[in-house]
Amino acid sequence: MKIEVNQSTCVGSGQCALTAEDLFDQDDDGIVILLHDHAKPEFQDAAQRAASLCPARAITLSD
Amino acid sequence: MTTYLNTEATGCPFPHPPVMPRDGTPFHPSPQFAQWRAEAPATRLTAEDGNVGWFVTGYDLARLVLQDTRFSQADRRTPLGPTPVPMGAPIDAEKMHALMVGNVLGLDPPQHTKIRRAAVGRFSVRSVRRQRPAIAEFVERRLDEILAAESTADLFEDFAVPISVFAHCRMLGIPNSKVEEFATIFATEELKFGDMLQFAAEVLDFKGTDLGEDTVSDLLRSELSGPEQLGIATVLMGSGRDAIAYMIGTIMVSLLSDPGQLELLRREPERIPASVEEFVRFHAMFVSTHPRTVTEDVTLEGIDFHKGEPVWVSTVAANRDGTRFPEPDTFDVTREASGHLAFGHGVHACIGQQLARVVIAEAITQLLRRLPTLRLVEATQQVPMAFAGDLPTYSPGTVRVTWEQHGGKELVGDNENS
Repeated sequence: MKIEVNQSTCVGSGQCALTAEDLFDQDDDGIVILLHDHAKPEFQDAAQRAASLCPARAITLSD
Repeated sequence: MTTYLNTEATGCPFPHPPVMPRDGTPFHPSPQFAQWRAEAPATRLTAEDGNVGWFVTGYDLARLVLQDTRFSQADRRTPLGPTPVPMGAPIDAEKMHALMVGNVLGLDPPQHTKIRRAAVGRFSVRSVRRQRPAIAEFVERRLDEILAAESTADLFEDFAVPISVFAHCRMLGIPNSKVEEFATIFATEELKFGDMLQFAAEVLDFKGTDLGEDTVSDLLRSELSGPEQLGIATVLMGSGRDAIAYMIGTIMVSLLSDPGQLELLRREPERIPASVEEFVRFHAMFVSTHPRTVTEDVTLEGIDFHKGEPVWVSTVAANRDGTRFPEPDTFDVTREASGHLAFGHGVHACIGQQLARVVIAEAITQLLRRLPTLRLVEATQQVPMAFAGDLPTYSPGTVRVTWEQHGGKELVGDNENS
């Protein structure tokens, strides 16, 4: 599963870093950092949860 | 797709759409919300000022509206409510301008994005977790004082409020010498915008010569203009602290009224951080978020929103939507409740939500650990109360509790081994 993030629409709510800390972090300005641009199978549920919880829809997943 | 008729346009059967129901409590919201949701995800509603718009009760529609910038927070058609806002200190043109340009709650992107980004850095998951030891220490000290004093307390005034004030001041960088004044102006039922602005201006002045590792200093370091800094600083000081205090008090009313849930968390306190999601889903404070205004005609989930109409999204109602949360009126601390809208959604989603999670978890965890015989005497929010503030939100209330004195010793002081 491929993960993309849009740092320009991110509002820094931290939902991704809270739900999928293996995949996402936040920089000093609170903006999303993508740790892995591909989610291994065991992290796909977390990736989906993070994408769904992101209030700014800044996370895009594709197969 | 179903289209829901606009009843006042058809003339019948309800020529005057209803007003917002004010019955219900944080534990049992007005039954009207569930009835409306069963009919349609949004209902025609008359505002206190006579303006007619939509009240959103369905979870999916609530999310769609909150994340759609065609629903504007800048172009506000309807006043927030009937309460005349007391001003306190006079607000001159300069300060009014600061609110216009820096109040994120009244801005849309891209101006909103610019202001929010200057403020959001210290509210990240990582940054907030660094504050946990200091918050934990404060909670512990507060409990020492409560336990040393007597065997009764008001968990709202004596516990939730001081903790929320401490965490808020620490995050923002309110100087220690001004914390008491902060509490007088901001930890009160009647917020006065003039006093808030004046206080924020003083703090910005004070910090200007002594920048630190805090949000106000970040604003001063940012590229925001002076008025933008003042506007956002004022809003940050006035937002969220009250909700954290409300939550701690109200959650404890539920836990102390539900021995099964309470016992579970006492036995497995490591569950508490995850249970915070259910705590805030079930006790959501905002009967409505700040009203949005429709900027162009748009149809979502069968509802035809027309340009100029106000839209109230009810996080309380959406969080009780059974299609998203099975048995929604059951408080279940083991539920996977993430996705709730208690912190809002969309670009205006609560900036301090990670702080709220940490503060609430720390307060509840220590309270349960230190006071094994805690018992609820009475709580005002168990009966319907007037909504708080200029938005329809549930009010905090007195949470009178008592506990058994076991000679004091085993309960006073750090209790790491219990």
